[in-house]
Amino acid sequence: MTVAPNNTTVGEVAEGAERPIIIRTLNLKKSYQMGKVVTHALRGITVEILRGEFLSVMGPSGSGKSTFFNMVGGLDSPTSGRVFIDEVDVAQLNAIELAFLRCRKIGYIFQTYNLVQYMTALENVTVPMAFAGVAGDDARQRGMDLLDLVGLKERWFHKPIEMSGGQQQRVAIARSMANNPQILLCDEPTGNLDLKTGAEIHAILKRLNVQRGVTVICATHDHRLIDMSDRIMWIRDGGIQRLARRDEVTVQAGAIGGEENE
Amino acid sequence: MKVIEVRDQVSLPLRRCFQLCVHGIQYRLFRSSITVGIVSLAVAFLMMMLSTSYIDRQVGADVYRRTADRRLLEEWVEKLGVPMTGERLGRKVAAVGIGSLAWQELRRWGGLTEQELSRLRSVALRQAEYQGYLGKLDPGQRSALVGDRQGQDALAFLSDRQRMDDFFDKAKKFRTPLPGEGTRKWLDRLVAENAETAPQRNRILAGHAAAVQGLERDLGKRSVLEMLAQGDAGTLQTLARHGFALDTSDLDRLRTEAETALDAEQILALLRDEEMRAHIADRLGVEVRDVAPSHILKIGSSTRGARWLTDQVETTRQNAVAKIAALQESLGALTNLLKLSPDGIPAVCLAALADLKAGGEPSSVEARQLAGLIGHGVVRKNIGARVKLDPVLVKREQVYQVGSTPRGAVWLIEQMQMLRDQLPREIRDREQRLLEPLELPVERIVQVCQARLEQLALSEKLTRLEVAPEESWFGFSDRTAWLIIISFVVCVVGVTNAMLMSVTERFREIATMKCLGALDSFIMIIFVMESSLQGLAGGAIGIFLGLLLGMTRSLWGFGTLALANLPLLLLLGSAGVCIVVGVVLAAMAAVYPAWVAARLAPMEAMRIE
Ligand SMILES: Nc1ncnc2c1ncn2[C@@H]1O[C@H](COP(=O)(O)OP(=O)(O)OP(=O)(O)O)[C@@H](O)[C@H]1O
Ligand SMILES: [Mg+2]
Repeated sequence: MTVAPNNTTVGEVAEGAERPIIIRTLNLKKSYQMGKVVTHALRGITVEILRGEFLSVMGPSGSGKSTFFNMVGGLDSPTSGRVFIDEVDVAQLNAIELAFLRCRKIGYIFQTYNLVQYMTALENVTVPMAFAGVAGDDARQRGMDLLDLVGLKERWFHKPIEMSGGQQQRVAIARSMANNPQILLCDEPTGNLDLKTGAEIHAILKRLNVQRGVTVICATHDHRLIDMSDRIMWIRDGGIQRLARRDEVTVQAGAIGGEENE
Repeated sequence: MKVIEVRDQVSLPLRRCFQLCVHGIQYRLFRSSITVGIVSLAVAFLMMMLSTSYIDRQVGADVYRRTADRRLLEEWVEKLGVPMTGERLGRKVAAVGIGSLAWQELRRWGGLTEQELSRLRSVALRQAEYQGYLGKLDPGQRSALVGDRQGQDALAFLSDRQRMDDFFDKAKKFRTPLPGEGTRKWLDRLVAENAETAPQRNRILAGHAAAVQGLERDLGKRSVLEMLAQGDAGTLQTLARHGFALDTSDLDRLRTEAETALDAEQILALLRDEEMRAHIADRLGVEVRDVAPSHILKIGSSTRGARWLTDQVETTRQNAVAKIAALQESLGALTNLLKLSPDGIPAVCLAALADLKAGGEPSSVEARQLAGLIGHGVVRKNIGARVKLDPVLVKREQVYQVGSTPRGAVWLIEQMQMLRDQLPREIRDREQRLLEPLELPVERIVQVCQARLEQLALSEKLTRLEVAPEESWFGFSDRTAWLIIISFVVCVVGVTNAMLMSVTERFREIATMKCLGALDSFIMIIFVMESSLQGLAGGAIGIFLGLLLGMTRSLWGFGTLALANLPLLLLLGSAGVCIVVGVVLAAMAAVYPAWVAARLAPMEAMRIE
């Protein structure tokens, strides 16, 4: 197994200088203080993600994937290090600019869905639109289209508690695309879906990636998704273990290069 | 460096926020209703306290006003009929207005100059301060300072230097502030001046006592009340002759009140008659010994009852008159019988027995008069004992039997002599106890009874209301004020707690909204809106509940008097205060946690829980 010796090679790995960098992190660290115990969730991640790229993030449970996503998406503040989105330092943004970023630039699919419990599927999908100033029939129309996209058109009036985990996840996916974001941060978007639906979602993500040029960053354990990725990043113990282009990785049954059972 | 354009990051219109907020409330209906419930309880508590306090206060003031005439009458009856005590004089002098009629009365009785009375007044005021100081001490402290001395004695005994030293040594250790200027000099001066002015006070007392006596002499058999009920120019003159100054408007009030008092006295006097008491007890279904003034007043306050009273007095009187007549007749019969010789009686008796045997009536007058003896309980009993028969079964035959032997005849004569000696006293007794006829017209009886009944109820209520209208902290007594403050605090804590809980529960939702691009302002608006709505609902329910409880309590205590005295504006004001407290507190209590959550990074907010 080859492990990326250090992070300086990252830039070289990305091919094609015509693709600008959309997200850049610089020695990103995050530690949680719980009483006297300090957990280092991220121990210094430096990575550059290109516009229109499909990046898969892999790593064992507790390795820091979700933490990394939160930092990149401007949902949490790092203990140290920096995140640049479109060359703008996220830490420098004020509250309104952050809201703008979260609302329009980035779509999130949370591992825990985080749907608003008292809203129907459609309402959940249209919430980000409301924050972007789209309301009324426009929003409803777009919301229905998005729900159609994830196959939940018939269930638009259901509340989260009335839906299965997979259905909720699909609502979350539809919501993440509400404002046509340039970046999709997906934290295990197909973790709760059957193979067929999972594949459909993968197809959707890929289509968005290819047709609209959306940058997709996806945490997953699913090998099929890795197949679609441009690059794969392995995280372990809060650090980048390996970062490789798709063609550098050989997919084997049960293990992929740099996989956790190394 | 690229700049993020924020112009399109809109704030949601208020209408939309409102929709979202109502939506949320509907979803968490149960949780929301608990919050609303807690808020409403807290507000209800405050509202109840406020409404009962206001109603109490209003009723108190009203009762005080309504009983003013009666108090005036009591004051004057005492002033005109009873020589003043030193203590009472002290209080009077301290309270008297300079130059008022009462002031002139005092001057006249004491033969004092303006300056002398002024000085007296100043002493009395300081004396009152001193007494107030003693009143504030607890009993142990008080007895350490002045023993069990009261009033003037409690001051006068300080004229001894040694005792004054002692007094100050002890008093300095107590926490209650010393009276007046708090100095030894002040008290020394008061003691000295109090002693100096004693003769003047005594002169006033003597003057007043003489005036009371003189008036009594003038009135002769009439009572002070009767004089006041007459209340004409002559009355004023009589009073003026003895130095009492009464102005005409007061006289008018006194006259009406005194008339009522006299008439009421007449009605209440009926209670002294055994038979009337029995009738009243019978009518109302109570025990005879429980019959109280309020019973007769209650009967008299309806036209039917008043008519019944008048009739009952008449029949009772007639019965009594008839009884007296019967007794007088028996007395006549006795005198007649006692004229018979000892042998005469057996003859009469034997003849009567023979008549009875023949199936006729005894023919002689004497025989019939002898039979009348068993009409007297004592004699009947004695005869029963003699012939060994239950007194109830004793008939005229037994009288004749006893009288038919010479020994029996002597015994009968003894009995008759005893009766003859007793009867006159009984007749006199009954004549004395004979009811006065109730000469008041029915309407007047009703009027007087109603007025008196109301007075009774009012004075009972006045004792129940601890608030005297003048004492104030917004017109509330200390106790009520504290209760209101406490209920306010309870309300604040209740509302705040309910809101804090309901917001902290929803940090996750706040965080989610923020992840999706919500502005901090949106979060604040929606939470403040929601809690204001809850505060409004809770406040409204609370006001309703509190008012209901408060009104029920007041109605229970004061009946229609409370209804007549609803301080509508003040209640409206209280409701306003309660609503504001409910809404503002709810909003404020929600602002803080919502603000904290809104300012955190979304994931940090999500971690709090
Ligand atoms: N709020 C927190 N407080 C303390 N420690 C935390 C917190 N959140 C995450 N961690 C720790 O940080 C580390 C990384 O967590 P993270 O959620 O990023 O893992 P993950 O890679 O997403 O795992 P999974 O695949 O199970 O979702 C873990 O060791 C976790 O215990
Ligand atoms: Mg995770």
